Amino acid sequence: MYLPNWPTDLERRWRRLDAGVPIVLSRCVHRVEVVAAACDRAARSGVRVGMSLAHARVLLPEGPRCVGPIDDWRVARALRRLGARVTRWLPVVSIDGTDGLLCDASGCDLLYRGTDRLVRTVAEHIRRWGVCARVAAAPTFGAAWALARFGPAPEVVVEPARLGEALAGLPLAGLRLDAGTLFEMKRVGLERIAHLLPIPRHALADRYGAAVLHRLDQAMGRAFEVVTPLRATEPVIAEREFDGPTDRPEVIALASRGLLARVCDALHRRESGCRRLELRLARADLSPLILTVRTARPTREVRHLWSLLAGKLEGAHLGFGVVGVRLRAGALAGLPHQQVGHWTPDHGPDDAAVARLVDTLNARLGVGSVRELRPRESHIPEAAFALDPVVELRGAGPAHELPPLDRPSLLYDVPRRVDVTFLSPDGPIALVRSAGQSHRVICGAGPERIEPEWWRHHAFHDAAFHDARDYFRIKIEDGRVLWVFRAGDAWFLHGLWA
Amino acid sequence: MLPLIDRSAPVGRSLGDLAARLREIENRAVGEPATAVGTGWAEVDAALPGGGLRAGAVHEWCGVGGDRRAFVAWVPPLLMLAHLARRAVRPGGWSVWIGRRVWLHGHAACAALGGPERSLWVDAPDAGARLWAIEASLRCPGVVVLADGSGFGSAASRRLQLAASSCGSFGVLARPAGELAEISFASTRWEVSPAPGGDLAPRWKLTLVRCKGVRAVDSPRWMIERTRDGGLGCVSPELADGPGAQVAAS
Repeated sequence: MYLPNWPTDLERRWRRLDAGVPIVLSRCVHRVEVVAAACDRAARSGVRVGMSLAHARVLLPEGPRCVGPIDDWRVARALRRLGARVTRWLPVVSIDGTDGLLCDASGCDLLYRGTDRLVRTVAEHIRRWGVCARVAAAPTFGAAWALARFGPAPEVVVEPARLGEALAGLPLAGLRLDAGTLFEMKRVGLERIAHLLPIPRHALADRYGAAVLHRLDQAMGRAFEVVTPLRATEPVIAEREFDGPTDRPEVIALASRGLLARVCDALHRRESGCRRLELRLARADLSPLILTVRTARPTREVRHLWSLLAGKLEGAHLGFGVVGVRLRAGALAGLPHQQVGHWTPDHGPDDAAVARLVDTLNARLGVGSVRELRPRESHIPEAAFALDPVVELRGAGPAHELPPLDRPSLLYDVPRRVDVTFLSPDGPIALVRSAGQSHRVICGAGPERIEPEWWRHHAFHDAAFHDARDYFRIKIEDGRVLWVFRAGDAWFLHGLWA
Repeated sequence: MLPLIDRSAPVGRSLGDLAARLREIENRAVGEPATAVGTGWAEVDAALPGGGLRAGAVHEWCGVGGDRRAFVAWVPPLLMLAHLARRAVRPGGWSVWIGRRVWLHGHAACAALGGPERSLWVDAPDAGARLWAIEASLRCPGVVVLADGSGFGSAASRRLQLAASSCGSFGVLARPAGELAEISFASTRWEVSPAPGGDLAPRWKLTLVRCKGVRAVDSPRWMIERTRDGGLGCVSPELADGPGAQVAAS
């Protein structure tokens, strides 16, 4: 099954656009916005995948249009979901690249009284969802792949006896070869699969490598092809209905605790842990309330998860009463069973304990209150490091090469204005004044020039910070070492060695 | 239970032996072997019982600044905290920095801790939440806690000390110098103040104000200076008042 306009069809569906509105999706390649996907309507105006976005904008007709960045992750997730939906007709479905599905239909034709009816049913349903689809059924995956892309009609069914005949007329791109080989073949006039068939096999292998033969054999049914099917995982859900609405928190807490034990038991049997837990309180007179708990590592510990959930439950607005609770474990990940030592007292540092600490702090202080340090590609002091909220606790990150610079231990978020007096013009700094106090400078070193990064949007909008800065380290009379800089004519205190 | 005073022992036993005995009994009550975290400065370690800062305790480092005449408001002794974190974090362990005031600049943190990973930075909205976060972190095994301890009373100090001693974790609180007068249950209390003199390298005067188990006749002082390789080193008193200091004083 081939979905020629999959990203744009999705975009049209997500944004609820008319069929007539052209859609162009772009991707940033080497700092140039390049067209990554264009719908049929845009393609008719001349937009091609790979051209620059500015060129595409010129080509698009006047009127409503939709131009935006492509979200590869979301598109891939949507394809997995589509694959899961297709399993209602075909049991074995596998994801093929970014825009196709490979399905095994052996035996299913009996249910639908013929393969052609099966193909028509599947294609019709997918088209009803607003997705353009080309479906081909053939004895081999390779042949079906080629026919779906280059076949004569959107729905093709090929009987085993007519396989060679159907493939012969297709272009060589249908054999899933790489672009270099295709280019080489085109130079010597090989364009269709039929052109390859009379050539002796050893000559083909010598000239273009064994991969060509392998692909050809896969398409003709002489070599096996294995696909990895999507596996449906059963969601981990526990549910309890009450006899009537209740607003007693201890009842709800008891029920939730019971559900949590059941969920953790299910996770234990599956040898996995969850990173997200959703408690849904069905309220009698209000919309359901969903309490979400996230953890920094996959876990299935009842005690820890309950300590996080109980805090959320305390502050929950129950309304007139709660009629039922449902607990669902999300973001599942494998968590192998481990031998527990009873007599070994302390194993030293324990990442699991730190992960629990992070969850507890996040639950009480709010998400984003626990941060981790991430180096950034910048030589501007305040932009060289970022403190990002901890989403998932990392063990050891990639080794980070620290530039051999001497930087202060404290850096102000916003540099403070100071006044500076010199002994002589362009001489050493003699006095630093700020907030009505002046301090004698004992010694100093500098300047260290830091140029602004013109290619990046700057953190400060003040014009003074767009200038190059000259940094000086100065020691004032009470012994502190300050880091001051000059931007234009103004002087700022940026940090100190504390 | 050992008798407090062993009558069979020779009478002329030194005071140091008795002090060691008392410490042993004290530690046994807590149930933790008294391990010590060396400060990395031989002169300082020599003055401390056990040859370093006690693990399973909270230590208070007061300074820098905080008085009205200061050029900038109170700044925790960040480089000292980073130095202690490096000494205290075991391989594979974590350091947790609580309170925005003790958040080092990333470059200094990476230089001191050997990389950006294995450190967590916690932001607490108010003093109550900060106290809770410090206590929760102290109760987590394998974690060294470095926190902003400003505005904590004696009850909070007792609570943190109990949490640290019951879990054997090492905590360092940075407090303003003005809070030295507050009653505290911390194992040791230090005062850090900037010291003039020397060249461009930052230099501090370090005073051991109080140490549990040692009777302070007079508070010992040291001079700590930032070395060329970015670490902190103890300057011997003969070198401390070099010609630079003379110039500064004049």
